Amino acid sequence: MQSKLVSVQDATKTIQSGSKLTIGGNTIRRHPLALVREIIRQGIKDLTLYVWVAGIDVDMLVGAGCVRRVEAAYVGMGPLGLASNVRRAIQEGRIEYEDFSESSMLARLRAAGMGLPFLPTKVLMGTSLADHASHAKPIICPFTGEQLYAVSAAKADVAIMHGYYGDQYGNIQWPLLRDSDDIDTVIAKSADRVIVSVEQIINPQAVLTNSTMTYIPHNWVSAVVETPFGAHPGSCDGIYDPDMKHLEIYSEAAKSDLTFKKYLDEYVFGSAEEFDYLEKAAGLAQLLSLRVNR
Amino acid sequence: MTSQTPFYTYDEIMLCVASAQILDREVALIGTGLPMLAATLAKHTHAANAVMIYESGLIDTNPIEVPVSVADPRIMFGTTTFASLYSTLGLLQRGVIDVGFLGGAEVDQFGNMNATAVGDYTHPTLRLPGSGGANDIASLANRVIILMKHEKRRFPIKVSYNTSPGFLNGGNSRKEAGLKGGGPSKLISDLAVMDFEPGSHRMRVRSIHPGITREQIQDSTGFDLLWAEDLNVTTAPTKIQLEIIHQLDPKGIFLKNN
Repeated sequence: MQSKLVSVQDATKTIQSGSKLTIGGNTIRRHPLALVREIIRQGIKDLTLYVWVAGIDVDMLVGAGCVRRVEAAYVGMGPLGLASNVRRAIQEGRIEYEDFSESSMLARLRAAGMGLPFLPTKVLMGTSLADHASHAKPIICPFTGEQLYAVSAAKADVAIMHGYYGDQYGNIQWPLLRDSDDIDTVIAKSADRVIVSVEQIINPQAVLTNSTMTYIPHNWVSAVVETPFGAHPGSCDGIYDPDMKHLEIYSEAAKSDLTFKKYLDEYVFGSAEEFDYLEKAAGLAQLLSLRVNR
Repeated sequence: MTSQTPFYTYDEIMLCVASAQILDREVALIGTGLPMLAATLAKHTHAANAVMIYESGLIDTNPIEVPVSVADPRIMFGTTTFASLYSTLGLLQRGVIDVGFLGGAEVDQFGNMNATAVGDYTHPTLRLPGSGGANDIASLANRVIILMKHEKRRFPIKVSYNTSPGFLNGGNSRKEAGLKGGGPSKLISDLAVMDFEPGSHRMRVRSIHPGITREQIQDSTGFDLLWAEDLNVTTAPTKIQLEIIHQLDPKGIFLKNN
């Protein structure tokens, strides 16, 4: 088998401006923020984002002017409240936005993963979501006559996500056995190409002897990159908690275009690579203090 | 408050009323925060056989440390099942969730809620995070309990954007739209407990919290409220209820001192 291990820079170079992108994680949890920062550094623009319960990932990309359109069930910063860059961009009409609910957006991503043009759902009827949606249409079930909403497949060109551990071939593993706690396994099937960053590259032999922990198999994955603390300042659940200290700096900066530009200049453009970013944004002592006791 | 009644906060009375809405053997869908405490309180008092399903799919957890979110592995401690965040949405769609909890920025006279945008949708004066699972719970749970702070601007006659369907335009309009769940059954605010009058489905005050007046409630509402004929005073939290909830949230992470 051929290794898919590449640098953050090389993995990101394959994402074209104008692409449709889907992103793993939720709110401030396990987003591939090292990849997001590199997208911003490389000046990739005009992205359409298909996301579920998004947060700082979408807020950063929107704040950096990389995004043309967002289709989502939610964009917010968890305990930190609103995603201010997204809020301002919508209020000022700078991005297109289409709202869904959790089950209807999930149905759109699952349809893409199942190779179907749409899936039926039992939600949206009677609401403003249906009034404004261009990817949801009322249908009647041909078997029962039930009123339903069809939602179209959200098929992305590229999925990016942050995993825990992975081997060089792209087998991605959990640190503890669990069912999926978020959207990652769904979106890994929905896109043409999948780029996964992981906390640590592990020996392929370790995967073979512990294969129940694999939640994304290598045949779905196009590229793997190793980015320790790659979800910072968000959490990588079970390994490290969110860095509330830096998230507060982020949230404060996101409140105006001017302060967010300064944030990007200092932490994203001002760091040639991720190790520089981690030193600047947190430092070793702070990073180690985020580790979860196990 | 009489000398027999222990001191309690607005959050605590809302929490205790919410807890009473979960009946024994029911399946409740909950998130972190007040609904988690309300459901846990119910299990420790009148509803030992209630089933708590978290948004993240876990069933009946007993965490030692307070989890930071429903997906934090800390929440897994003492759980019977690790399902997934999206399997819970499947349960909703199957109609097996008895009761769900919702909050939002605005609620109107028919119990429709807005969590998306205030003002014109395409150029809102205030953009909010959006539905998340709120629309799904409002559409599909058999009963929905709404928890809201009672303020005039949060209680308009009609929401500017309907994220989470209540009784739409009242009457039979919810059913006619094809919505499967039963809609909101109670709205618990910091001033009163309300329901929706059978038939018209307009918001109606059922009980007033101790020490609160009718005028205060109407003045904090942007439309004319209906009043139940058997209007009474909300039962205040008991000493035992307060003791339990403080054991559950000793550091006051979810209970604020208001």
